[in-house]
Amino acid sequence: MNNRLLKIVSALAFASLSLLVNAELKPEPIPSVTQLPADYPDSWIFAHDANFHALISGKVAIIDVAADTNEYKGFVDAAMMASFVESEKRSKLYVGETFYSRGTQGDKTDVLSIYDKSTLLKTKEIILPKANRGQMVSSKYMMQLVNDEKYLLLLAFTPASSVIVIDTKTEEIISEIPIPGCNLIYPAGKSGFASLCGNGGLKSVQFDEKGEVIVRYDIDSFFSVDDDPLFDKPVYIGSTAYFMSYKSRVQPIDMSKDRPILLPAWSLVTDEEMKENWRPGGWHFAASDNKRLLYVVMHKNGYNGSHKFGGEEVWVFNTTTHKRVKRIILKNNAFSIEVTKSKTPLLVVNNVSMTLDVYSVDGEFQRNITVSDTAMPIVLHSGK
Amino acid sequence: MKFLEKLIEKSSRKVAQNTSRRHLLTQLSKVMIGVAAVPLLPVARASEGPTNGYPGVGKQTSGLDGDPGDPTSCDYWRYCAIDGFLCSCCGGSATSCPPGTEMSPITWIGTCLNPADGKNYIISYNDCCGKTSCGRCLCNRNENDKPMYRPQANNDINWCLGTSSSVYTCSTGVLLGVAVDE
Repeated sequence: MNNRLLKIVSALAFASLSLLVNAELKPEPIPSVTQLPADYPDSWIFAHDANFHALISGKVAIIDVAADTNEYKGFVDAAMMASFVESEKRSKLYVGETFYSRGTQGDKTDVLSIYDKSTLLKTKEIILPKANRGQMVSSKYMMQLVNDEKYLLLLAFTPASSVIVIDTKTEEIISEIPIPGCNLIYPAGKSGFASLCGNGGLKSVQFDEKGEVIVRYDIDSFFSVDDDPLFDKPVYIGSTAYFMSYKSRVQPIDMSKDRPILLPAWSLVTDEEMKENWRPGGWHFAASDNKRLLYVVMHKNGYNGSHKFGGEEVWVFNTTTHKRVKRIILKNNAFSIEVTKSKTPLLVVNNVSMTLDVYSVDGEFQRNITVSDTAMPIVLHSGK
Repeated sequence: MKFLEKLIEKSSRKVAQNTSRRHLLTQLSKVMIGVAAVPLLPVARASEGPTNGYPGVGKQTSGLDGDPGDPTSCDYWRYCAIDGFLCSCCGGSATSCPPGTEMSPITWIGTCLNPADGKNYIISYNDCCGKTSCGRCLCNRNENDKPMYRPQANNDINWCLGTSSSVYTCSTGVLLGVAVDE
């Protein structure tokens, strides 16, 4: 009996071993390249790494900020203080960038690179004939899609400033509109944009299908650039652009019509907070969510020159009542922020150590994500 | 170019790599003592870069009477609105570009107080261009810096304009003259 039992056990052991042998790993196909969906989930964001330590090789990384695994989805190149915008309608990504034929020397080529969102391969390159693309620390307002994404507007700066108009259907340049004395691109009206000007005024332009200017307004100075300038990075909530000043003023501008309308200004701070010099600051230091709330990075003890150093808290405002509804004390100081457009929005913070901290919009810390070991992801774009 | 830099990366990460934590704390405490009347954010301290120079970077002087401070230190008085790598750390000086680069003829302007004579001077932050980023002594200070719609007073714009290559290498701080009150 014992012998029989031993035989059975031996047989079972052998069978198990065979199973192990049968489960060996199989050869894998080469080449193998990952693809992304044509439409990205709404928790994916674009983190623009300007890469100051080698500006000729920046990038825009695609990251799922809701994920605890496989959070890094891929990236596109973005050379020399590039500009970036995602198309919602065409499953494309647009990058305005600059190359030299010998790396840092040689012939200069300014281009608009167009990428397929699924393959992240370049599908088209539009060469800017004047090679006059503006190179600045990357800002969302260097490049914008307007008129239901019919046109892409790209900033030129030599330092004469102008806006290059590109038809997104034909993928061709149709015009260039000078904006002397003014800078940057804020979508305005049905088919146009506004720009802030060095005198504290605003210029707005509407153009036709040929890219020719058909309406132009120059709004006189409405703030002091010397005493309390408006930051050049507003937050759009619907068609209202919320500009904030160095000293915490909020100047909403209704951009829905051809002629922008200045709405009543209000303040981010109480008298007490003003005495403590609470001020907004950072790079893209403000964002909005799907409830029309305004999120602003704030720092205490602000001073002349503190406006680009970020802050230790995010304050959340109801833009109708102008009341602060939340005060989020951050784990690490913020430099830039973004809020995802997802059903459950997430607050993404590019912290001053240049990694991403992800919070619930109630301020509950969820995870930290490294964009790369040396990344400077100073502009975060939520998916559209 | 005067870009916004990598704030903490430059200061604290690099400092941490090259010096002991105790040394770092000592340096930071010096900063805090130096500006005790105006408390700064930790990030502000970091992004402005170390005072008293950067680790592994030899100290310098301009050699001019009445021009105090170390041109390889972010707190050198001329750098009150600079944003970039200090050319004095890169083979050039506070007023000249490193060999093989080209100085941008147009640029942005700051007004900085010289502690030696108590006068405000106009400083021209000409960029040096044509080689890749120097990568030493990243320094960002923004006194009187205005947004990009006032470009002549903004340090976020790549001012390697009018040069044969627009690739940014480092930044200088050239003295143009005494500022006259309006």
